Amino acid sequence: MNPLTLRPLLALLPLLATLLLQWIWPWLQPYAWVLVFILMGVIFSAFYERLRKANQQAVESLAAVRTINEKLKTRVQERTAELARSRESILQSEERLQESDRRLAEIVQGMTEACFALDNDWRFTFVNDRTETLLRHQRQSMLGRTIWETFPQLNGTPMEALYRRAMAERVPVAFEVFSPVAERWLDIRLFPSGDGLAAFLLDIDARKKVEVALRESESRYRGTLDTMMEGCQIIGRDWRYLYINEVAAFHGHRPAHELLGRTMMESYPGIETTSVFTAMQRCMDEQKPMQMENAFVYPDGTRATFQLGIQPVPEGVFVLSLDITERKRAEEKINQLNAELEQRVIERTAQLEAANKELESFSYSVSHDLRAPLRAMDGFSRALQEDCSAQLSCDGQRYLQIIRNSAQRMGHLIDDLLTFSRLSRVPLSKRTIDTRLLVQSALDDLSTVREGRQIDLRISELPTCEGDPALLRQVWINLLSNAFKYTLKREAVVVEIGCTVEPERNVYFVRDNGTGFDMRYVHKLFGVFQRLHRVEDYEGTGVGLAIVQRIIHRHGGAVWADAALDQGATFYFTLQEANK
Amino acid sequence: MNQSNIVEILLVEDSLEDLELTHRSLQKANLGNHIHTTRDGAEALDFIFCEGAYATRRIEDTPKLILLDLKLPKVDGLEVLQRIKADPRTRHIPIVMLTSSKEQTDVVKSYHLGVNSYREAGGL
Repeated sequence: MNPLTLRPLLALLPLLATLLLQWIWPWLQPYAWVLVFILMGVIFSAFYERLRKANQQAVESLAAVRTINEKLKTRVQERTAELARSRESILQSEERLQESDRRLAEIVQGMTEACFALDNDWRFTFVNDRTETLLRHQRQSMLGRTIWETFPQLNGTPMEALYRRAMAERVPVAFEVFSPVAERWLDIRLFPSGDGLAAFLLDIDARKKVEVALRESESRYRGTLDTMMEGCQIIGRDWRYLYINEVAAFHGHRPAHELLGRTMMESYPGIETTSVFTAMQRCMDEQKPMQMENAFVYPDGTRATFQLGIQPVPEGVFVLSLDITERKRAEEKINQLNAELEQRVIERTAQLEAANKELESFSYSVSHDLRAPLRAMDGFSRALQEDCSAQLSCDGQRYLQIIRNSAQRMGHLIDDLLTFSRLSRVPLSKRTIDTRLLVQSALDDLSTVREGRQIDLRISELPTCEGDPALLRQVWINLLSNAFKYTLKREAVVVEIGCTVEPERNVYFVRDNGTGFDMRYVHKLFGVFQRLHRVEDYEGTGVGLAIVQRIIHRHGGAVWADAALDQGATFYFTLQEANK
Repeated sequence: MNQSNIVEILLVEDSLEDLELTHRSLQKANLGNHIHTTRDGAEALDFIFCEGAYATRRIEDTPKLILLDLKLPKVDGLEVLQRIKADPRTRHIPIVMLTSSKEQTDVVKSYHLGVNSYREAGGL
């Protein structure tokens, strides 16, 4: 028991003893001494117990205090050690901080960005190296002065407003601007620092110029695409319309804003089953350009045909569409016309064949039936000359001769006309011809014409040609016989035969120094029965050169002449050179 | 051939046979004294318009009649006709076309160009 709790009981002890003595004393008096001794023993025992407990408590308390003291001592020692360590750490941190500051200052000095600090009076308090070069001012001329004194060109600019906003509102501000100080594009970032501002300036001039150039380029390309006559679309890899020009929108009968951002499948349900879609997919997958024609049926049933060029681009595919509906219609019409024309050609060919047959029959009649009366005229005139010449006057005999001459002349005319007519009908049998041999053969044919005449015949090199040998032989005969005929009145006759080689063709010529002709009438030269000379001067039917022209034209060549009166003539004709 | 100023008839003909027959017919009709002959269209125009070999002639001395073959060397009869009828100094000269052509187009063209008559050559 705690001795302190016994204290009230102990105070009551004298009262209790008095009461006890007064009440029981008479009975206890004989045993008073014994009782006193018992009572005193109890009291002493109680006091002793109390003292012992108090002592014990005191001992325990002292031990506890000692323990607490020990603990406190230990904690004080620990705390002291801790404080010592902490102080050490603080000292180290301070050193590190100083080192860090030094490094930071070095970094800021050496930064590629320009960096400067302003106090709340706008005075430069720090300027790094790059600032000097970028703003083209010495550090000394900036430090201590305000930014507005140093760079008065900033006053009143949007830049000034942004600086003032960052300073007043204490918020970071970033912007890109063409600086009138640096005369370049700068990326400027302002941060509140202490009670001033820190500014970081990055030179973005090159990037900005590239951006401007890119923007201009893009704008130019976009402008070009926008105004192109062809439809242009860019479709992304997810089949979304990324770009559509007006023409493409017109082609699709859908405004661009309805399509942009939506997929093709959303815009045109079922398109994934079409050949166009397949082509686009192949173009995307294989990165190969595709070309195709596509017939498109609009919801209202009208049709249009487009020529599509599909090109792979980084975003997906670029589709160029050209409306060829009209061209297709025209082509169909042309095809139809061609078919009709072919039919007409077939019909005409049949008609022509029939006409040719008729002509052949006619020619047969001409050559046989018309000759019969001519033969009679000539024959009976000759009979008159032979049998009755004595009864005829000189005039009569001359008239008879004229009749005979005319009949014979008509025979020649019929022959030449038939030759000319036949030339248009006989098929060409082309092969490579040795022109030299052909000319020699023609000259052999004309040997009787040349007989007894002194002709200086000059033959140059004659290259081979492609043609029908029989017909070309006739050309050489006609031209050479003309040359011999129209030089009859010359004493020194020169006839030249030659050729000049031009690309793809040979130009052959026959030149004489004969009577020539007036070039004013050259256009009549190759006409049938056209003659520039009198028949009594130079005989002929006027068909020879017409035959020459027809043969050369049938060979795809040209024929022309050059001459002057009394100064000879040159006839030229062209033929395809022989295949090499 | 008479090249004097009093040419009554100009005969333009290239065929010698036709020329002789025409001359014969004209002589039989007592018209053979004042005939001048040219053998092609170019020579006929030179005669009428006093050019080339006929530069010394006077254009006022126009023939009273021209007998013109349709088919002529150098310049054909239709062109000669056209040139004569196009010139106010000569358009009044009567012209008779001589030809063996019975082609309707030739006849129509000739009348269209102002020819006065149309006869078969050599058969006057």
